Amino acid sequence: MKRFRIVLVTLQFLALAIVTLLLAVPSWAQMDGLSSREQIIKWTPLWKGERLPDGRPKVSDDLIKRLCNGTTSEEASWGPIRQAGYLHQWEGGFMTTHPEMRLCGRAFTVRWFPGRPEMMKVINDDAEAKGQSQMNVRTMDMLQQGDVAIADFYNNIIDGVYTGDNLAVSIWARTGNGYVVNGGIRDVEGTAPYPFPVYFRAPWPGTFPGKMVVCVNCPVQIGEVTVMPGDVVLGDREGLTFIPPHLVEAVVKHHEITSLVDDWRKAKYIEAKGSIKPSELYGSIAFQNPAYRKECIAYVQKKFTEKGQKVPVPTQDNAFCGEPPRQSQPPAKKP
Amino acid sequence: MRLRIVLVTVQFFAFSILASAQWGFFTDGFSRDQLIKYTPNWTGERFPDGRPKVPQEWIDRLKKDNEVTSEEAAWGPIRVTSLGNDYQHQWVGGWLPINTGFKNRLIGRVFTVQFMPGRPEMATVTEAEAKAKGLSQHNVRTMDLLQPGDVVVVDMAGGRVKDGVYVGDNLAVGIWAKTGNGFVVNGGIRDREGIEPYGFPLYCKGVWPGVFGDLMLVGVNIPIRIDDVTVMPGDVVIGDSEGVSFVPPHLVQDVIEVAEVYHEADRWRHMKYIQNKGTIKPSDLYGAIGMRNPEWQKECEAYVEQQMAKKGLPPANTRRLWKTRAYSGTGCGTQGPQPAAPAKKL
Repeated sequence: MKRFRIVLVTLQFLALAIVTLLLAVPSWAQMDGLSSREQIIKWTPLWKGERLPDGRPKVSDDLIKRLCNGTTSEEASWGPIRQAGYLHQWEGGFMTTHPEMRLCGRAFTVRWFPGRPEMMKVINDDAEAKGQSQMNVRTMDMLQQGDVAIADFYNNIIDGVYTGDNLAVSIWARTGNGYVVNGGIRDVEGTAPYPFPVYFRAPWPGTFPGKMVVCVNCPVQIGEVTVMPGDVVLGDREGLTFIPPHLVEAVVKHHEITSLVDDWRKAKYIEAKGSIKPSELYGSIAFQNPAYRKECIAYVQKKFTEKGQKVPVPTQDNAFCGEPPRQSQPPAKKP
Repeated sequence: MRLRIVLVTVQFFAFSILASAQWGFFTDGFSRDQLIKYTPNWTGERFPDGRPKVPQEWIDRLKKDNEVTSEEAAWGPIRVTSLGNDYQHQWVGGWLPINTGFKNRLIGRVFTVQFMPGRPEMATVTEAEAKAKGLSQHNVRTMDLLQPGDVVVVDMAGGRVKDGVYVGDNLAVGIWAKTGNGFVVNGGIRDREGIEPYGFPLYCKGVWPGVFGDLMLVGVNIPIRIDDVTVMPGDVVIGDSEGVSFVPPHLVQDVIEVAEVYHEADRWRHMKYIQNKGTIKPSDLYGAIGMRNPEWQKECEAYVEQQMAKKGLPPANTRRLWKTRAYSGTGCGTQGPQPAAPAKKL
């Protein structure tokens, strides 16, 4: 009898453990489900900061605000991203409802595939059992403030429509942001009056028959870019940069100085009415005139002082307004 | 004693659940349970990894009838809504085909591999994992997983050729020796001249002298997309000189049976057009009107039944195929099942 009870208790315990384990099974095991927190963490190992409950890196609102000050462009982010060994991360060729606006936020990815009836049935039955809506709408229910939805229709516009004006506005209301469709949208005229930018490939009047959502918050490929959930999106009239979260700070810092140098340089070119050669202020032999270098540094530092921010000093690691003059070094000794 | 049995059993289950939990959507592939869940129409045998295992005799028959089974033959059963199938895609063309053709069909069970544009931090994770397991580099370690009868279908980041090369001649021969089959690369290959002499069929998008650049392996035996087709592990590839069909496993039998009958009907029709030296209008024998003359329909059916009987299929069986599988307007013009109500679009 005692042994029986032990067996029972053990069984109960183990049954519980199994149920717990089952719950812990990555929910992206369901194709239309979310990728698990553990999986996202595993695949974004360089992000050491805060994370959203779903595991996505949570780049701070403050940093995103600084990134999205209206002047940061794809150009500013390119240097730090490439230096870190990321070769792609930018995609152009989109139409946008508001080219004059910036799109900034944390990527929330939705991967669409060509439909296969038996898979669509499984996916839709699952959703129905959970009381969820149709494929596109239920991905929108998962969005939160600060997200930028990235719907990948593999650049398929015909029957590859993610939103019309109704859902467009619902996404904006929920995230505070526009979004990206690597495919089509409809009701552009009903969408454009609202002040958020939608990036899409082309309009198409229908919906998405014969297509299915196979993964949410999985890696998606947009053009030549592998976009990860939690990447910080920066959209301007030229295209979209998908900044790996751990590089956002470097991008912002780089830009905050570089944009001032750019301002000074352009003003200088104009002021000199062409008497300054392009190479004197830009390129591999720029700033050889110490007066220009001094003036440029002073301008940048003045702007930082005006904003009450820590004034940057050019160093070997943080060079601006040209390379700092190198110390003449004794020739290396021969071994 | 009993306790020990129970404990061991439960441990076993707990362990297998844990093990399955480690399968991801990418890097490790789809779990057996996921594969089963998303191929519910396949009720036959499966590989230990969960892939549908279409019986060898069907594969052999597809190979034997290789002049019969083309992309055209597969298209009907895959796409025709009146049979309730409604697969709208499943065919990809536009390849650089090597050694493909009439007598050299590529036929076998799909094994999928997915590459995506590189991100250093992700590639570091996958390569560290592989190294810890003593595995080779991205492309080579996927090949070690192949088994006889497989057709590896690789997506190199959506068809990248430059810096998107999956194999040169060495690994191409390595794959062929292991699977007995050629393969499909939605991307590049190299050493074409070193591959061609072996004679196995191979589909790629182009040639590039380098390797795969910064592409990273993100998945094995997961659903992948080649152009407008979702390819599932366990699909059956039929590659001819025109392109590649990815036949859902539960439709393979349909494809085989229908292909044979339709092939004979086509042969009769060709004969008839030629014999009559153009006095028969194209629409008399083909299209929406089908067989305008009932005599022709009878003649066609008799011919097909006779030919099929030579192959060992009794005429009664052929007639049953007409009834249950024919699509109106083709075959011998026999009316098949009536079209079902249009599927509800989502």
